[in-house]
Amino acid sequence: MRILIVEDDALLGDGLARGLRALGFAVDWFRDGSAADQALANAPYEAIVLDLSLPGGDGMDWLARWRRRGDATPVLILTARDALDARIAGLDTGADDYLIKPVELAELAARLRATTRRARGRPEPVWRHGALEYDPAAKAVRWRGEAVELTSRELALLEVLLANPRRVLSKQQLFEKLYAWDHAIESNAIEVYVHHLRRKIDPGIVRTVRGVGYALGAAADGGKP
Amino acid sequence: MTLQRRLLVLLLAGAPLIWAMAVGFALWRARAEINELFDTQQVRLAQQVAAMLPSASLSGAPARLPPRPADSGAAQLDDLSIAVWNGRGELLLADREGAALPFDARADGFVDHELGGAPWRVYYLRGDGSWHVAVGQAMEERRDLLRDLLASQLLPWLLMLPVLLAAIAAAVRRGLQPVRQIVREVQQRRAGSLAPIAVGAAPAELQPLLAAMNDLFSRIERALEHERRLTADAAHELRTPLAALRAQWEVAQLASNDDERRRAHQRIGAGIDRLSRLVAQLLALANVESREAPIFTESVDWHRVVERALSDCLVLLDETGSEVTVTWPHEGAPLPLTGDEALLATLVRNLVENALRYSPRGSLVALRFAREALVVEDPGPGLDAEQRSRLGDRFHRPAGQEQAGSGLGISIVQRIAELHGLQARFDNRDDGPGLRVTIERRPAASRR
Repeated sequence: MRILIVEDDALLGDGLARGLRALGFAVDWFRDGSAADQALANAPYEAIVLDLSLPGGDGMDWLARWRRRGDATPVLILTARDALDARIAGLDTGADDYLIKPVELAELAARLRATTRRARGRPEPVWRHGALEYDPAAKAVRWRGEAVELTSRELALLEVLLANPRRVLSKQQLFEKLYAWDHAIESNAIEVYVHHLRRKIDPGIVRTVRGVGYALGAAADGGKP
Repeated sequence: MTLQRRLLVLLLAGAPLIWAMAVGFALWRARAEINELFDTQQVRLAQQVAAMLPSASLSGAPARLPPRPADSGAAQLDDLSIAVWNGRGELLLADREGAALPFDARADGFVDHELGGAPWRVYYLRGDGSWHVAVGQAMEERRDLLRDLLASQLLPWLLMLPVLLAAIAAAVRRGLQPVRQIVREVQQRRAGSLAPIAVGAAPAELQPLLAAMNDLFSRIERALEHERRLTADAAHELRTPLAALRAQWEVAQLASNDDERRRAHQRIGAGIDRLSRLVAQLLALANVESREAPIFTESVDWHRVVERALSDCLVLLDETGSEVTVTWPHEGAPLPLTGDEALLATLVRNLVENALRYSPRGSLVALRFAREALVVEDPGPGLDAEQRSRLGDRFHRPAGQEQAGSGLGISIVQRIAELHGLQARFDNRDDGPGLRVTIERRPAASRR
């Protein structure tokens, strides 16, 4: 899951970015609103972690701007402003969640999963697709009831496919959803991970649409006897 | 002693005293009048007796006035005596009731005698040597009159005294009612209430006191508000460094290799340094904020101040690879001042630290002393008008700030300057990029 962090404090931003990466998120971290704004316009993020006290413009102003132009990316405010009216103003301006610093990374990660889950319209924490079960919190995958061991990259790819069950995704789109900008990766990485998923779960789990990209396989439904 | 008791004691002791003085004066006057009246009567009587002498046959046995009739009205004649003698001292005429007046050949005018154990006042009238007339009156008569006068003064007073005292007490209580009203109003306040007391309705004597109290209230309120804001700001500003520490600590826990863990530990160290500095700055600010402007007596040795300040900047100098140059005026002492060197060192340190932090690595920061100013110049980006106006706002840090400052340094600088009758001026340099901070004397008009 690719997320955007807007936090001007160097130490905190670094800690959040590294911590969330270690928890399996793809993270882009920016220290001011306008850089974050440009990033948001150029890459698909599933959620934004937004600090309010930012140099060159308050976080609330950026949030209001994004909502005005119709950007519905879930926004989770992470701030030191704990006053009730600040919390109310944050949520009413369009934030999906409001957290007061300091916060535990595990809780931040859980809230990011919860807001993205709601945004996708999947209320249940465990995703099902035919015989496939995926629990994003536990990073656990079961195929026909049996646990499947996947690496974090393979999991991330599977998650993107499950999140977009009826879409064909180009390699470029997958790339952008999976990787933050600071990651240097080989150009055939997506093919490699698709191959791994087919091998570890089921050959039909990922369907190749020639000339376009990949989609979640119908075989996922066909697992039943 | 309460005001009420004090007033009561003064009035209750004072009223009888003043009355006693008035009565004393009245008695003294009455006595003089009585003496005058009675003396005159005696003299007249003696003259009338003397006038009758030629027609009276005053030979042979001494004549006695006839006994008085049974009905003599309220006359009391025991106290009055008349006697007439011839030249040889033989009694010619005497009244029946009075005391026997002694003959005194030389006497002429008033003489006090002791007759029958009582004091008498006797008026002698001496003729051409052939007769003497004496009219005597017991002093008792005059004293009786005085006593009666005194009694007639005293009685109504004694009867009215309780009424007077009650009236005074009531008047005092009523007069002090506004004081009790104010006391009640203050007593009934909630602990935190510092709202001013209404001055308008209070008596004129109490208005200055109330005004002074209200002034004190408002100063306390301002100080409390100040403290509350500082505490709230501080709590607020501690959240981000704490959040950073927490995040970095969790990164260390999650780290999959030693290298990453070591880096996280370094960042935790940096975070703790930052938190320590923030707390130290908060304490320094709380310290200087709470001080009333003291009377400084020690004259300041700026060399010592700068040594001390730059010693505290050595680590930052190493980290930034920058340098500080200090220049002194060619002659004369720089910025002569009485003050606290420790506080001034804090001021200089904060200015130099800011200059180092906001300048590129390897910069040259200039600390120049003039006869009447201290100037700190850095080659950093300077400040635009909006940033300059926000300087001194607590915890405000300019945008794009890489170095983690507390945002308190300028507040501390301004407060220490204020305590020393100085002010800090922030300008962009006119000789290139960078900020120039000038510490100079505050114009006398704006001093508090």
